[in-house]
Amino acid sequence: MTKAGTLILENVTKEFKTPEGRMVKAVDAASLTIQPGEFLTLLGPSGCGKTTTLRMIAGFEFPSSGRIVLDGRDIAMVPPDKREMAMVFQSYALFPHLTVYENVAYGLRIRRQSNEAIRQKVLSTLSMVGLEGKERRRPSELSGGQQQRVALGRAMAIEPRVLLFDEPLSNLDAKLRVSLRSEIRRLQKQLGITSVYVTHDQAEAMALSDRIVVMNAGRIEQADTPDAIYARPANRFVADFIGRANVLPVEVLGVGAGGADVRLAGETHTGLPCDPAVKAGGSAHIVVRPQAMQVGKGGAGLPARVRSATYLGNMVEYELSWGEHTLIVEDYSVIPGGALREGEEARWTFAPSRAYVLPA
Amino acid sequence: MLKRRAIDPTLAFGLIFAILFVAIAIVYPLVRVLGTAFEPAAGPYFERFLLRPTFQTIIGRTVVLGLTVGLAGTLLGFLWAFVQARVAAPAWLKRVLHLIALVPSVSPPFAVAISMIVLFGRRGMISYGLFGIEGNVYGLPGMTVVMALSFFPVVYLTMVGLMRALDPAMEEASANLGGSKVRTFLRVTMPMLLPGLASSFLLLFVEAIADLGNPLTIGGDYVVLSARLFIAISGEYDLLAAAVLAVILIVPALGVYLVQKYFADRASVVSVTGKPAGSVALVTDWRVRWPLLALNVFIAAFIALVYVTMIAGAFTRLLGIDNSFTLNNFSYVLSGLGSEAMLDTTRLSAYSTVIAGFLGMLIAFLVVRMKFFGKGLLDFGTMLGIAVPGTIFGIGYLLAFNDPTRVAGFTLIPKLTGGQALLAGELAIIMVFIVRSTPAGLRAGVAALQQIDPSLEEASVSLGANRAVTFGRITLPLIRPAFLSGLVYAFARSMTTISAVIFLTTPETKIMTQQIYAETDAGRFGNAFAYIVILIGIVLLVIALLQTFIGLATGAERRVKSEN
Ligand SMILES: Nc1ncnc2c1ncn2[C@@H]1O[C@H](COP(=O)(O)OP(=O)(O)O)[C@@H](O)[C@H]1O
Ligand SMILES: [Mg+2]
Repeated sequence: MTKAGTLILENVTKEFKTPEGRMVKAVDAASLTIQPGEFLTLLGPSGCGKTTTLRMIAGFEFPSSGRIVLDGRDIAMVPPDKREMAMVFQSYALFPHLTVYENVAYGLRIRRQSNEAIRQKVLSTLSMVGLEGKERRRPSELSGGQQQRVALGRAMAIEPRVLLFDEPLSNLDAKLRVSLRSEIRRLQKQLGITSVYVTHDQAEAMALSDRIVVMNAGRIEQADTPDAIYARPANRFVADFIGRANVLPVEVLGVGAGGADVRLAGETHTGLPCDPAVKAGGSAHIVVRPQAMQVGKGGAGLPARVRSATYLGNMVEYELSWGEHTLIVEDYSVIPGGALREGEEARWTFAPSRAYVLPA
Repeated sequence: MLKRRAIDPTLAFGLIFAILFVAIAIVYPLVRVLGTAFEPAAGPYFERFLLRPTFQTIIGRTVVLGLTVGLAGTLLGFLWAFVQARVAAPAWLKRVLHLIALVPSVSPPFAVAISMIVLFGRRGMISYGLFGIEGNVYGLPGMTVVMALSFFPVVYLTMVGLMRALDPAMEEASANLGGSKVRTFLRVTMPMLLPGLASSFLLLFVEAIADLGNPLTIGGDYVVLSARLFIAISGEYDLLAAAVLAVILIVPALGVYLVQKYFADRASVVSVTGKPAGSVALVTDWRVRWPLLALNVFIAAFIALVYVTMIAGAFTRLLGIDNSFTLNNFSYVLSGLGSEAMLDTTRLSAYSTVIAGFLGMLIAFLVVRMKFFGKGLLDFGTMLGIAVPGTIFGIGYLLAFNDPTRVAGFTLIPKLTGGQALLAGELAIIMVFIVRSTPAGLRAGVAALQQIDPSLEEASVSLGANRAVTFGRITLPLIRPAFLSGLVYAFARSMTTISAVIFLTTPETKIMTQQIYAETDAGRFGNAFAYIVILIGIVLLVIALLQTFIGLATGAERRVKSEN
C-alpha cells in the first residue's frame, strides 16, 4: 500500500516577472491542508494560478514565500526529483523513444529496483490501467486514451506520496473524458494516494473530487466539498463560476436559527439558508440556481418579460428580462406545447429553501 | 527568508564547465587581442594600416574578395537548390548533383585551390597541357572560383530547405490570379527567398574574408588581411602588428556576421509559417530547364574533375610533369615521415569531436531549458567561436597562452602554445578545434530542443530522475539527430581547418592541413594530394562510423512534440 502523504500549503505566494519587468502574483497567499488519501481539485478560470500552484507542489517552481509541508517536512525548496510525487501531464509526456513497458518502468529503474521487481510492478500496473499486452508498443502506436493510461500507470507505479494531475483529460474527446475520469477516481480510491488535480472543467471537478478549491486571480476563494461549493458558495465569484446562478440584491430583514428573512423588490421571503457573515439590517445578495426558479403566465411572483425560450426536451430554458437583470430559469415541469413564448409577460418566484444569502 | 533555489549539482558542474570554457578558450584570447591592439605602442600601427595606401589596398582587396565570393557562391548555391527543388530532372541525376555538392564540405577548403593550380596554373594540365597557355590562377579570379566552389554547399543546403518549405499554395494562388510563371516567381517566390539569399551572401562574405588557406595557396600577389596577418606572425614575428590587423579584420567579420544572423532568423520565420500542402509544379519548359541543367551539370563535372585530379595526383609523381604511377606519396603519409601529422590530427580531432559534441548539446540545453543570469552571453560567447575568423583565434592563443598565466605567483594556466608547451601544444589545438566546432552543434541542439515539449523532461524529473540523469536518458536520445550532426560537423571541421591551428602547431605536434600547405608550398603536390585523399577518407569513414553507432532517426523524433 502507498504511504499517502499529508500536504500542507501555508501562505504560498508566487511572483513572476513579466517581460516588461513588472511583478505579477500568479499565486497569492494560498493556504490549504490536504489529508492523506484525499482527492483535491484546483478549479478556476484560465490564468488563475492553478498550474503554478501545482508546479510549486511538484517542485518545478519555487514559491516566492510561504511553506509547503509534506508529512511534517518543509519541502518548498526541495528539488522535484526528491519529492516522491509524480505528475500526469496534459500532453501525456510519454517518452517517445521508450516502449510502454519502459515508460512505466522508468521511475522504478531510477530507484534501482531489481529487474524482477520492476517486471512484476510494471505488469500489474499495466493490467490495472487496462493495457495488458501492450508492453512492447511505442507510445506513438497507441490512441490518446491509451497514452494517458500509460502516463497514469507510469506515475502510479512509483507509489508516490502525492499524485499530481494538470488537466490530464483535456486533450481527449468528451466520451473518453468521462470514462477515463471515473477510472482515475476508482484507481485513486483503490490505492488511496493523496491527489491534487487541476482542471477548469467544473463537471470534472464535481465528479472526481473529495474537495474542490476554487481559485481566482491567484487567490483561493473557497475550499469545500462539491455539494457545499454548489449549494453554499462563499461569494459571488464562486456562485457564478460553479454552475449557473441568478445573483440578486436583497435587503436582510433578520437572521435567525431558521435562516434569513429577506426583502426582494418589495416581496418578503423567509427561511433562506445564509452565510454566517450576513447581518440583519443590511443589504446582501441571494444566489438562486436556475432550477430553483419558478415561472408561470400568471399567479404569484414578480413580473418579467420572456426574452428567449429554448426547448431542450427534459426542460425549457428561459431568459427573463427583469429590470436591468437577466434571469435564467430551468423549468422541468412544463408540458410540451405549454411553454411561455418569447415576448410574453410572465411572473417568477423561487424556492427560499434552495436559495443562499451572501454578504453584499 | 527562503533559501535560494538549489540547482542540481551535476548541472551546476556542467554550467560552470561551459562558462569556464567560453571564458578561457574563447573570450580571454580575444580580450588579449583587443588589449594588445589598444596598447599605446600599437597606435602607430593603426596609423600605418589604416592610412597608408599599401594597406588601404589590402583592406579594399579583402572587401572585394568578400563581395565576389559572396556573389558567386550565392549564385552557385541558388542554382543548385533551384535545380534540386524546382526543375524536372531524373532522380538519379539530382542525387548525383546533390552528392557532388557535399564533397567540398568534407575536404580542406584549400584542396580545391591546389587542384586548380595543377589544372590551370603556369604548367597546368589543362591550360598548358591541352592549350599550351601559361595559365594564371593566382589572384582574385582564381580565389573567387576556388572559394565559391568550396563554400557554396552551405548556401545550397539552406536554400533548398527554404524552397521546399515554401507553401506551393501561394504560388498557385498567384497563378490563379493570372500571373505568368516568371512573374509569379519574381513577385511571389523570390521575395520569400530574399532573406535566405541575403543571409547566404553575408555568410559567404564572412567566410571569404576569414579564410586563410586559400589566400596562402592561391592568393599570389593579391594579399588580403588574413594573409597579411599570417605574414606578420610567421614572417615578421610581430604580434603587435598582428593584433592590430586582427582588430581591423574582426570589425567587418563580426559586424557582417551579426547582420547575417538577423537575416537568417527572418529566413527561418518564412520557413515555418506555412505547412506545405500539395507539391510544387516543377519547371518543364525546355527554355528554362535545359540551360539550368546544362550549367549545373557543367559545374558539377568541374568539381568532379577537381577531386578526380586530387586522387590522380595522389598516385602520380608530379601530375602534369611526370605522370608515372607511384605509391610513394601514400607511403609517405601513411607510414613515412608524414604519418605523424595524420595520426596526431585524427587523434586530436577525435578528442575534440567528443567534447564539442557534448558541449554543444549541454550549452543548448542550458540556454533553452534553464534560467540563469548571463544566459544570452553564454550563447553569444559560444557563437563567437565561429563568428570570429580563425586567424584571430590563432593570434589570440599565442598572446594568451604562450606564457603561463600566473596570479600572485601561482600558475593558473600553464604555457599552452609554442615550444615546451603543455602536452606539446596538443591542449591548445584541441581547445581551438572545440571552439570552432561547438557553435554548429549548439545551433542544431537549440533547434532540436525547441521542438521538444519540456513536460517530457519534467515527467522524468517528477519520477525521481535528477536533471543530469534526465539529460542523459531522455533529452539526449531525443535530440540524437542534432547530436549526431554536431559530432559529424565537429570532426569534419577539426580535420579540415587551418586558419587558427596553423599558428599553434609545434615541432612535436603537426597538423595535416598545415602539412598539406607546407607540401604545396614546396611544390610536392603528390604528397599534398595523398594527404588530402587520406584526410577525406578518414572524415568519410568516421562519419560512417558515427552514423552506425549513434544511429539515425529512430522514428521517435517525429512524435517528440506531443500534440496539444
Ligand atoms: N513562467 C511564468 N512567467 C511569467 N508569468 C507566468 C509564468 N507562469 C505563469 N505565469 C502567469 O501566472 C498566472 C497564472 O498562470 P497559471 O498558473 O498557468 O494559470 P492556470 O493554470 O490557472 O491557467 C498567469 O497570469 C500567467 O500568465
Ligand atoms: Mg494551467
